[in-house]
Amino acid sequence: MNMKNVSKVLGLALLSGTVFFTSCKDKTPKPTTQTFTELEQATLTDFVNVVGNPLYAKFEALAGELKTAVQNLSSNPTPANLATARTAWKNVRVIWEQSEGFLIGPVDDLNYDPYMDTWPTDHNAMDNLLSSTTPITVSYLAGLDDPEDATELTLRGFHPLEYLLWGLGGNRDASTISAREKEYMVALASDIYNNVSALKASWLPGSIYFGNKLITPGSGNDLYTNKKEALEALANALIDICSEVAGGKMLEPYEPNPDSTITESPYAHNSIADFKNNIIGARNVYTCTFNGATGKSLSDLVGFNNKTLDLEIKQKFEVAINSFDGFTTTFESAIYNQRTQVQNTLNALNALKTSLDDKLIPYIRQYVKD
Amino acid sequence: MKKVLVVVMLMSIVFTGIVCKKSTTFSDEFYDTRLSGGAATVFLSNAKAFGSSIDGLSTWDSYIHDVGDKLFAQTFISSPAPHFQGLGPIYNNVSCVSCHHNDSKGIPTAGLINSGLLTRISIPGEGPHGAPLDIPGFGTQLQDKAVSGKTPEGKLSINYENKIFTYPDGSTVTLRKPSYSITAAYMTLPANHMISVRLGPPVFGLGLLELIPEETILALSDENDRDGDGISGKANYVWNPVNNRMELGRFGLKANNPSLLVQVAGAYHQDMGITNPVFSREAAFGQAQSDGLNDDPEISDSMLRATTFYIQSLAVPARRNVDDVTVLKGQQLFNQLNCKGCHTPLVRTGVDLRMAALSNQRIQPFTDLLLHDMGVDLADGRPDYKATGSEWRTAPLWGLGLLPRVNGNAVFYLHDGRARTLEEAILWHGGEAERSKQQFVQLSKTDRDALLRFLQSL
Repeated sequence: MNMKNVSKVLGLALLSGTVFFTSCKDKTPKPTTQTFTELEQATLTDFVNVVGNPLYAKFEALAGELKTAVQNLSSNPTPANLATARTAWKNVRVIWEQSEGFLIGPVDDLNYDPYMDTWPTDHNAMDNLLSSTTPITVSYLAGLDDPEDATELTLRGFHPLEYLLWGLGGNRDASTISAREKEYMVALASDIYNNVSALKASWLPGSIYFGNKLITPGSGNDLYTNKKEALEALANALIDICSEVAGGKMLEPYEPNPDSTITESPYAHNSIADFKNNIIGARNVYTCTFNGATGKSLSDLVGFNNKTLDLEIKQKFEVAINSFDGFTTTFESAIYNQRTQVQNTLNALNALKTSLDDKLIPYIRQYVKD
Repeated sequence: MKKVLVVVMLMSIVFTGIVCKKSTTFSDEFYDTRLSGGAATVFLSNAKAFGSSIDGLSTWDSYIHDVGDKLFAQTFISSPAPHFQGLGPIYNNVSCVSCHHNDSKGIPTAGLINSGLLTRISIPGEGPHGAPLDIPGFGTQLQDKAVSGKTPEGKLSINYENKIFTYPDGSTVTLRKPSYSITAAYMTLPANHMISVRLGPPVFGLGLLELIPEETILALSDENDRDGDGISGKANYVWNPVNNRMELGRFGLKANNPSLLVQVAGAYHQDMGITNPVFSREAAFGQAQSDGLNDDPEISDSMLRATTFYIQSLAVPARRNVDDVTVLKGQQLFNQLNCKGCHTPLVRTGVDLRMAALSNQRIQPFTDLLLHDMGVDLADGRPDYKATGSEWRTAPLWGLGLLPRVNGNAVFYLHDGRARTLEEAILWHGGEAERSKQQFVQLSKTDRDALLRFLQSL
């Protein structure tokens, strides 16, 4: 049956439905229902307007708070200001890790991810930089004056700042922060803020306007020529982050031998929060939820034709997210002492990934035709 | 019971007839033209289209692929360090993915954190086994970065000069012609040094190219142009340090590498400064930048081989819009203009019992893996084994239409990324491709666009 005939049959069905309801004289207002095609569009539009743009806006606000907190610490290195800066770092990491639930568009294409989240840190390079007389400015880190003079990625982003705020073993004392370290941490926080601002702007009206590209798939769109491609890109992003957490971030330090020196946020011991927020971020994409707001989502799209699958995916998201609550220690310790909990989380993540891989992608390919 | 027996006997006769039927060649019309990589094709057309593993990997092979995937993305750091050490002391970039964004290309700059260019250098003459001759104090690749406390060998300076190409119909295209020089050299470069600037290519489908039988490639060569079509095609022969012998070159932009293992080992060694079991001596050995550490090789054999396996097992994205009328017209023109004279559309891979998806596959790489003279405008003037200064290996065209998505719209074509569009890339063709290019130029705008639409469907 070609699409025209499908439309005809659907038209007749809708018409007979109308007649039926009219004849029943049901005065109760019916909720407006969207066609599947309308729902596809709403899923893309709402993702950008409810999750993408608001998340990046919050990311920018929190990066601004981090910048201020680090400047305050630099000016007045008290234990209280160190604690505030650490909290600001953890707060901004919550949003960054949640944003990794959709690593599509400029964050990937324009390298904002490696600018901010390159790992591991290079202690030799950091020590050499700190012991040199080179002025450490945001221009120096980012190569604003001459891109060829930009420092290596391992000297930029969250993790060198984490090292400066916590130190090895988390034993940083505010009173021992040197003048060079203050210079470096202020430059790092400014560099992070600048990158987040640029990332946020890249989704908004302007030269890139990625948000609009996601909302308007079509033949004139250089990234997504149809809705299927755009929706699949979102679904693939969910799979990618599950693979990244279960197959890399958690697995590598865990197997074959536990190794706490290759965890994601070893100085702040923030790794478990990082992982959990990655999956919360992915769940937020699937359900189109952020900061209390909701919209039409992949979940609605799946539920349109297969409620069982939608429930399965949502349930697996919850199991995976809740599994992180089984840890009562840091990840750096858990890989030695709470291996059962690590394995439980890995199992939950792999089960989620299997459903997304084997069912969500085929669902989109089966039902999304435009 | 009798009836049952009769049925069984009849069925066995039919069955016997089937199994005894002599196999025949599967006609081309029954193949799905979307399957660029045969069974090693993935139906994905987004930014990650180049990063999928082939189907049917065993659990162990999938694990090795994943390990290689992580190594490909891993940022390496200076020594000594507990993990991922070995960067430099001189290098071009810190990870594979820095130059191969999304398993694809980088951008045609040098010295930046996302730069994809590398600069091969040498002086006239031949090194061991006919390789390019080292420049004393520099080797055969310019490392334009160094770990803190060390000095880069120099910087690549790129200058573009615009030149206007005008079609017979009056429409114009601006081409940018690069010129290259080395600045800030840490020591004096000999005046006769030669420079070959190259943009790292996409890395998917390479396991298939490695499996093309040598005799298939040699059968495509026509070094003396006996068929008189203006296209020769010459095999390069290069040194394989693993097998300790000269072998057919397949990889590298001048077919200057014999295998993926040597290609990957060379990239670790020269691009990142990471010693490995194939190249275990620092690229800066004997130079002022040498780290003096007794820590070589800096990555293990298993890490090297996992990285190699990763790119061996990356699938090829499927073609799109293959039934589109304009695409079909473009395909017809592609053949008519004899673009296929070098960009061989169809090849069959050899047999590999361990890798079913790669083995005995009908693939559409659009390359013959041979060297062709591409004319003076594209010449680098630097011989590389048997490749002359104007010869380049035919670039595979599969995946071409997906580059804008995979590379976030920062797409550049040809060996040094000088072309910003497919049209510019075609107009740069010369030498053996001159005749085809001139025919392209003579086409109507509609037909030229159809040819481009075909390329975008790959």
